Amino acid sequence: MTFEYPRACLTQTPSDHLEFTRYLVKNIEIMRKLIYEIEAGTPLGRVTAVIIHLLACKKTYWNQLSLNNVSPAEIAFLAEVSECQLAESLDYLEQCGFVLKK
Amino acid sequence: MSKVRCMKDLAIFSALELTEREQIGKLAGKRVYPKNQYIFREGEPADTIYLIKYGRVRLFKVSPEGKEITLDILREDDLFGENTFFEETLHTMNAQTLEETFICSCSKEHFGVLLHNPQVSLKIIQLLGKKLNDYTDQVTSIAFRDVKGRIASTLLRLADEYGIVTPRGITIDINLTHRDLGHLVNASRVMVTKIMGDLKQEGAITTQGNRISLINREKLANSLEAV
Repeated sequence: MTFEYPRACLTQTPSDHLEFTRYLVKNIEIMRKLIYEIEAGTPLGRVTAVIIHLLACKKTYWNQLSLNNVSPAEIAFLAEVSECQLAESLDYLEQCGFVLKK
Repeated sequence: MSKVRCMKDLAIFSALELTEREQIGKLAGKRVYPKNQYIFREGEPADTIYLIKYGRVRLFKVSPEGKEITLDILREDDLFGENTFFEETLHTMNAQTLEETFICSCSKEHFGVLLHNPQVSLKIIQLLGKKLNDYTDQVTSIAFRDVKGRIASTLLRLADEYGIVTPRGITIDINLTHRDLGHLVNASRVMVTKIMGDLKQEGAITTQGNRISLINREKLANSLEAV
């Protein structure tokens, strides 16, 4: 996973620093949540782990990793979650900016 | 205890002038927490930023099944309670001391004042940026590796952060029990003891009391790839 830092990180005013600090803290919170979810074996944790594994097998395309040829049903099967749990997990990961559903 | 004065002495503020550090001292609270004391619990209002002067703090969450899942173990000069930066937020985890710990604290408003100093602000950004990278690595690490790989990865990370060169190799300069390590990689103490024994036999590490030394980094790194 990589982070695209906002423009604020390139600037120098105190309000930019505050904004960037908030951005970092938000992502730290997300990462801690994912660590918890993976360790606790929740549906979100299992989906995240499966996606990380699948992405590790893929090559980059326009600097992005694509899972176009993997169906949601296959991801749900691998993560041992229902399609509803998969949808909820992907929604969360999309909200965090880690995946983009098309 | 006499060497500890207050927040202004923390490394994060070391680049500041003496007068600026004196001002910081006025903004801060300070307290020594005994071992196993909760600093905050999940669900409590988050209104304070904490900095560790000495000691260790464990951040953890409890799963619905009652399993404690350690997210991080913090030590001196580390910062926590960061989500205080957001409006009217609650703590999303528990923070508990692992040993006697001296903690400096300040309110969100006071911390906002500190962030107006570019030098302090950049130091904090560096600290948080490093933390974010570490957590990102940790997510990948736990998604991929078995317990041995997670222990090896954690020891390599701790050696980079806290390692000092000694005649025995790179010694991780913190007291780390098998239970602590188990908390860090979310494995049982028994499993950690077994794997540490394996790593010793393989000639990757050696231990003296609660101090762990890396005698062969390559062998330890191989444990990551073997999975």
